[in-house]
Amino acid sequence: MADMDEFRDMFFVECDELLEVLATGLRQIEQPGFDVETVHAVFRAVHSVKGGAAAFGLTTLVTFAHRFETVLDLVRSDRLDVTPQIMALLHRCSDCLTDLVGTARSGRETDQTQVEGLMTELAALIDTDTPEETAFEFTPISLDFDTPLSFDPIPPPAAGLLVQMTPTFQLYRSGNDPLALLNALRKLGEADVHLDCDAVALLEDWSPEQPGLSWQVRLSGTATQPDVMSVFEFVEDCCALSIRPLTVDDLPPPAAEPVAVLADVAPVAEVVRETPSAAPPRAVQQADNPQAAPTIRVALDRVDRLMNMIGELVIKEAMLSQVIQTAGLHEQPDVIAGLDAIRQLASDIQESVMAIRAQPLKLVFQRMHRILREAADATGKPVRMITIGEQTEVDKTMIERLVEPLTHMIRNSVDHGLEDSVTRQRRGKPQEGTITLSAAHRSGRVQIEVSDDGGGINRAKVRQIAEDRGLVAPGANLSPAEIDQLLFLPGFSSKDEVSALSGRGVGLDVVRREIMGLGGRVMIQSTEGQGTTFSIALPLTLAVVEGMLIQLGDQTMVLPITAVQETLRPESTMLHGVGHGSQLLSNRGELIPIIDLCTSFGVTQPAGGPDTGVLIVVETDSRKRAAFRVDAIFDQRQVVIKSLEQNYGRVPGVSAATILGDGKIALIIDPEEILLSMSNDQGRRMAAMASNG
Amino acid sequence: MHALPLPETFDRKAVSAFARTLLDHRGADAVLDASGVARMGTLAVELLIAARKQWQADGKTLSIRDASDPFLTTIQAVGASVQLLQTGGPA
Repeated sequence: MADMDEFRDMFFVECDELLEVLATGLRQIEQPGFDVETVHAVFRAVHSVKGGAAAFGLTTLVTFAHRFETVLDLVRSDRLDVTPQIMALLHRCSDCLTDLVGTARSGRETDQTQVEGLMTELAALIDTDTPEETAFEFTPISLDFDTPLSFDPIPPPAAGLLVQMTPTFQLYRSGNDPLALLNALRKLGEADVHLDCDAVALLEDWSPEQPGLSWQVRLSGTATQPDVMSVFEFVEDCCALSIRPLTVDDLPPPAAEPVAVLADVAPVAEVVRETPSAAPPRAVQQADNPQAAPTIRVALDRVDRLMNMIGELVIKEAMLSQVIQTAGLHEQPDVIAGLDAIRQLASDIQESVMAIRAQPLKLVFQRMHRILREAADATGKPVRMITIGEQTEVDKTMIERLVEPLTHMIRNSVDHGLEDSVTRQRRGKPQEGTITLSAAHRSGRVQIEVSDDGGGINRAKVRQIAEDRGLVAPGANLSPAEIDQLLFLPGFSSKDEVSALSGRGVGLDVVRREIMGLGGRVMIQSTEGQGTTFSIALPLTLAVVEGMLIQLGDQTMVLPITAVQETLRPESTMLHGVGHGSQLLSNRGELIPIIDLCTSFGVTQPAGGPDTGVLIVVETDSRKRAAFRVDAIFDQRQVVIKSLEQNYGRVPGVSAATILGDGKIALIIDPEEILLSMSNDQGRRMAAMASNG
Repeated sequence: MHALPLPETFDRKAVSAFARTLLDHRGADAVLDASGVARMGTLAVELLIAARKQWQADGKTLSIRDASDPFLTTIQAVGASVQLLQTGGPA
């Protein structure tokens, strides 16, 4: 039954896409002036889920989807108004359908109470005379996949197809329009559309209930009859339809009768224009209806294997480069050119594979709408969500691992960030709170932000709680940003009572750990009375990083290039001592703390002492700056990231490891953590001084 | 000559009412102002064809002016043209 499992897996993958269409479409329907085609798309998505589910005998799913689509049919035929209450119900049905697909996929128990409740609500909207509801009978179809299926594709006709259609009033009444069908046909190939209006009556006898238009469409290309039938899948009962291969007789005569090849239509000259300011007509471009690029489904582990091999290729290239250097061939032009070509090729392949793995954040953002709705219901706070940049692409692994942290952040923003509506009104804010979820590519990283327009972080309260719980020494000199960071300490909860929604003993520390596990950072910006923004900065890939190779004693380490701002050998006048052996760098009128990485990592200082070496000015994602003192810088290159935590264990100040060209392992430095530990040390020192003082 | 504006949303719901409006203007040449059409359906195209046939049968002219982009896009997409709507000429 391997084939059966394969078909079932394919069905669930398709369900993911259909449920995305459903959820996105429902949100579009909420917007003013929505396109009626969106309602059709939503209807088709639910219908397709039902159709697939029927083939696998998923009775509950089929029954629920059927009733759901019956109500959607009422919406698309204008027999049910789209009120906020109806939209809320449709959203909940969409969530329920998603849950039912999830339980069918995993084999878990279905929440029958939820399903039955919604079925009752849907039934209340359906007129008992609605034929779809009364005529529905469902018998699961058993498919025999043990017998190899033989799909004999219909050979593509040599000259194309002739499609003739005459819609009845039923087609219009159900909210459909031949326009959408014609546009769908255009996506199958070049379409010559011939409009026949002979049967249209004079206006005095005309009625929309007796439409007279019909069409002949000459469809060129490789589209098959089943392709065309799929266009009419939902309207075949209300449309006289004929599809047959084109013959020579069907070709248009040289001086064509009324035939419109859309791209060539230029009717402007016929229009009586009184004002020259009117914009020229927009011809229907091919680009408006681009034919979908062919796609294939590939198992993720195959792509991962390819990615790993490319990582190995980068390492081998570095090794080869080292061997060439050792052999004294590094000045041979042919060798250099060949090596550069391999390097470029490896880089191109790597980028291509990354592009295969890249997916839009929409897949995660879309799920957050449901989280928001549930959080709003649970807290009783009216709230809306704005999403920006949801087409921003990130690695697929990140897509999956971002769901949990973002879920928690959204819940946190609704529960802790937004004030209740009474307080908001008192503060002159709209009753409805706003959560903005945005994403963008910035400086070679992906930046995701969750912002609320709530009251901002109550820092005095946060500080008090941290002191009460012994998380920070009383009286410690903490900047506002450092107080905000306390929210990420394990177990921290700013609510006096644990909330059923976000305060389940899981704090923002879990969010930070998850994001750090992805090689990213979480930062907070908050303004009292105006709101809070959580920013997540993520690397574009988990596989490779551009790094600066530095020398610390006898160790080679890698500093990610994204953090590096400049490198310099300071003159003695630029260095200033402060406190217990600490130094500051005076650079362009700014004082920057110097951190000796040899000391940080416990590496033996080379002869020459701490005043020798090179300073690398870094700026982290949280905009903290410092100058790292290193013994030498000797290269800059792409290195393949190997998890240290998986292969060895967590090392403070180190994010991962890599293999160098000579086969040695080099640690990849985490600048943010180095700076964080520095500020914690300072905080502790100052707290100790304060308590001793 | 006063131009009769076509509805902004010229869809299935709007055609019956506009058909009655058109019938009120029978017996004289008429100009339809299509500049304000933001959305249009196929039944609206059919209504305009029915009107053109009526005006021709009455020996009068029906013209369309200032067609908006959505108007032109729709009539082209269904295989019609302004000429077809005005004179019954080729699409």
